[in-house]
Amino acid sequence: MMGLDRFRELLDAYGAEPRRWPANERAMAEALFAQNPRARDLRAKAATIDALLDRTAPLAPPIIDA
Amino acid sequence: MQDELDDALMARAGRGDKSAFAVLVRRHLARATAIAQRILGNRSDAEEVVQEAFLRCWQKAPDWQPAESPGSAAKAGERAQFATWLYRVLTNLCLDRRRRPQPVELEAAGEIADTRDDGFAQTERGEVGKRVAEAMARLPDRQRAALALCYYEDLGNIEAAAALDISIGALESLLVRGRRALRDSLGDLAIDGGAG
Repeated sequence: MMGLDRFRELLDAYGAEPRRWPANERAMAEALFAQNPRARDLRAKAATIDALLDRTAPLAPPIIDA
Repeated sequence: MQDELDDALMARAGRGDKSAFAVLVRRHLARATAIAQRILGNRSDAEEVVQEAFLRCWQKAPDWQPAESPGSAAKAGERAQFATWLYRVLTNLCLDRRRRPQPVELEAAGEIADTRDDGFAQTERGEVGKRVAEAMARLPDRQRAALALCYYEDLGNIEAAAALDISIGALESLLVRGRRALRDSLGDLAIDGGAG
């Protein structure tokens, strides 16, 4: 079972999207998120930073010669 | 050949098969360019560095050793060893370039100043995007590289740590410091959820 401290570390490092969380911890983090309102609050805060980071994406793809 | 694994293509490239190498380049070019551009903040520099990285791949091909075991660099959900190696070479080239003072010839100074500036600006979307791009540009290079690999290009933590040649703990430390610095400098925007 993952604790809130580790969950907060995951959010601080990888952001709010589960696909970016370490594969070996993702299921535990999602379980915590599903059942703990505090975890949901923390994730919502991390999502505001993600939303800012997303304002610079995407980049134009490179041109590939056939 | 399009479906061949990277290691098989590298083996063919090592025997001089240019078409196999071309498949490899096409497969990884977009992501490699995106990573380099995120780290360097400049499209033209990124393209040069990516070209150098693929040149090193071609030179490495005759001696290429595929992943030794499924449990080493090619765990389920992780890319095979070639991608890890490529991203490490690429990241090192990017960080080396950032460390190195860039010689500027006088007659080209204006043009270079323009192109160096447009890298981060190209990615912006509106005023918020501009603020974020500027904050990203101010981050220490390794923090920006960690975010480029993990956040923007969705590399797994094992592969991103390998690309930076650091432990997963050190990778997480870079990511945390980078995101905190962005949060601190963009806090007024984050309150609005990035809207605007």
